[in-house]
Order: sequence, then structure tokens, then C-alpha cells
Amino acid sequence: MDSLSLYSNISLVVGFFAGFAYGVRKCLTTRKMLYFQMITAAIGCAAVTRLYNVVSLICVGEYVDGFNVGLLGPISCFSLLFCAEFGALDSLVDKNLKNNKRATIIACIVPACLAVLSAIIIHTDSVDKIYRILIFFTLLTICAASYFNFKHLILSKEGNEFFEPLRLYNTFALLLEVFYVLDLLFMTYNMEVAYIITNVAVLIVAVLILPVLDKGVGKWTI
Amino acid sequence: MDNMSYILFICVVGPLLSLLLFMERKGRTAVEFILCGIVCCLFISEVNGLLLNSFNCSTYYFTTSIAPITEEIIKAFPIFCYGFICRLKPKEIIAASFCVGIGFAVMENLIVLSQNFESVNIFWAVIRGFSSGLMHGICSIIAGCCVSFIHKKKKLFVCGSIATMNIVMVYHSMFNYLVQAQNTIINYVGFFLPILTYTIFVIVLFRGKKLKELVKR
Repeated sequence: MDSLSLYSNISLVVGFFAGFAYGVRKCLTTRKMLYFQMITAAIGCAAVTRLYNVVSLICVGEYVDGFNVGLLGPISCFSLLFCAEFGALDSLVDKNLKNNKRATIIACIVPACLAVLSAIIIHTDSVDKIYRILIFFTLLTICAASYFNFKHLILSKEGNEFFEPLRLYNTFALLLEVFYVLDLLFMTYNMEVAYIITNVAVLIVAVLILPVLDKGVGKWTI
Repeated sequence: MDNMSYILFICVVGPLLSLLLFMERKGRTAVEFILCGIVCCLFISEVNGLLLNSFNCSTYYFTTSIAPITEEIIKAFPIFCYGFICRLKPKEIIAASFCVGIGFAVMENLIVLSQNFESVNIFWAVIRGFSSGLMHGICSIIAGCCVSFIHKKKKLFVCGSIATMNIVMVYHSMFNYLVQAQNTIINYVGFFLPILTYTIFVIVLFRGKKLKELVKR
């Protein structure tokens, strides 16, 4: 599993850095809003985290048992995604319309499903206590980010026309969050084939997420 | 000698303190933050010593998994305080944070030099100066970038600061892994990582400015 993990992390480093480079280039050439910059930073965090995983696997030869600093990386990535949706966008989108209230409640489904998967990951006997605590915080940020991504995906068209172009980005962000949880689950239970498939999916999302966002933001008229 | 770090601290801080009285505002702020970095380094050397004794772990594990966290938290503390108290431009906060990082690196280099006095050479100095020094500077700049949002976007600041601090710790830990590896090539990769990151930072900032100037014209 360690060598498999090494190769998958190397491919993900390339994917995330490609996405990050695209975001940075767009930020420099055209003046992008803070929302875009934050998501670019989130992808950058994911890239650095994957690079850390590669470095630790090369230097130590295996995943460090118990606490390691690399576990903090996904927290940064997903808290930035959460922060971008909640802090920079949600107040603009959610205008307390009746249809939006329904979306607010329905949006709880995805974080609830992810919480169930998270419980399965955390309840494994094979993992260390501190590792469990950190995984818990990571999954908490993922659930929070997925709530807003799903909410912004299912919001009614009425009154949110300017938000329409971002639906595809929200789908990609949601996929990234779901795949990350699945990735953790498959790694915890040593399910190699499923792990490879999930990593390929994460790689595709990592490369495409910022171009998709750029296309969406480009259509904004506010 | 037990109190060597304190001797070095006094030797460095004394002249810098006397310099403060004769400086203009901007220059004085820079020296103040270099001093902050030096104080942080002295403080963290004591804290890390205590933690190493209290945790039942190897020095390798400590330097790669615990020291990056404590060092980055202490180093970011003066920057966060400065950001909270003074309403400054992002550029000023970032410059101040780089000064904290550089001050920290200077003191750390002196402490490491005093501990390995017999085995150091010019190559060691180049590595410590340009690699480890820049790494501390870069980590502080990233923290400073986050602090620059402190008064602008409070809603984003809390999550943003958690994210920034975490990623800075990851970067620091990665550097420590690379420079302590058994393989020489990996060591060199570690030495060049901060130089590469710094170069990218400079290019991005320079290009950004140049592009903005072109847009203005």
C-alpha cells in the first residue's frame, strides 16, 4: 500500500500543482476576485500537502504512525473552500427566500452522509488516538464545506441568476470533498483497487476545478 | 557552555537596541520586528527543550512533527498582535512578518553555530544562510499575508488564519524532513526548496506589479 500510495501521491502533486499554476496565472493576468483567489489558495494547500506526503514517504519509507504534520494540510485546504463559500459568497446568495430555505435543509444530506463515512473511518481500531482526533477535524471541515457547496448547487434559480455559472464548479468541489473522504476510507481499510480509482478521480477533479471556476466566474456580471 | 544562547542573544540584541533610537519610522519598525524574531527564537529554544524532555520521542520525530508547530505558532504571534493593534496596509504587514522570520533565522543560525562549532564550514554557512533563513522568512510571509485580512474581511480571517498556519507548518515540516534525510540528493532538494519558493514569490510579485503598471498605462 505504501508504494501505491507514493505513486498516487506523486501523480496528485502534479495534478494539484497544475491546477494551482493555472489559478495563479489567472490571478496575475486578470484581476480576479477574492473568492477565486481563496479557492486557488485551497488548491495550493492541497498540492503542498500531497508533496509533504511524497516527501515523508520517501524519507521515512512508510506512513508515519500517529501524529504527523501532514494531517494538518487537508484541514487548510477544506477550511479555505469552506471559507470561500461561507464567508465570501453565502451572504450574497442566500436571501432568505422560501425556496432557499428548502435548499438550506436539503443541503444537510451530503454532510450527513459524509459524517456516516467519517464515523466508519474514525472507529477503526488500527489507527492512533491523535490521528483519529486530527481526522475528525479534517472531516469536520469537509462536512462544513460540502454543506455550502451542495447548498449552492441546489439553490433555486429565482433571484440567484448571477450564481448560475458556478453550479458546475460547486459540483466539482463537492466531488473533491466526497473523493477525499472515500480516499481516506479506502486507505484505512486497505482497499487498493478502490483507492486507485478514487485517486484517478481526484486527479481529474484537481486539474479541472480551477478552469471550471474561471469559466464560471468569467460569466459573473456583478 | 549552558547559557550560550543567552550570551549570543545579548551580543546581537544590544547593538540593535541602540540603533533603534536613531532610526526613522519605517526603518525602526523593521528593526523592531527583527528583534521580535530574535526574542521568539530564544523563547522557542527553551520551549522546544522542555517539550523534547517531556515527550517520549526521538529527536528526528520531534524536529519533523512537533518543532514546526511550536516554532510557527510563536513566530506568528507578534505578527498577529501587530495586525490586531495597528491598522496597516497589507504590504507593511507582509514586510514586518518577513523581518520576524529573518530575525528568527539569524538567532537560530547563531544557536546552531554555537552548538556545532567544531564541524561547521563555509558550505554549512551558505546552506544555513540561504536555505534555512529563507524558509523561516517564507513561512512568516505566508502568515503575514493572512494577517493582512484581519480588518478587511473578519468573516474570512478566522478560517483563513487556521488554514494558513496549518500549511506553513506542513511546509516547515517538509523542509525538516528533506534536510535530515540520509540521502544527499534529497538533502540538496531540501536546501533548494526555500530558494525555489522564494524565487517564485519574487517572480510572481514582480510580474504582478509589472502587469498592474501595464494595465494602468
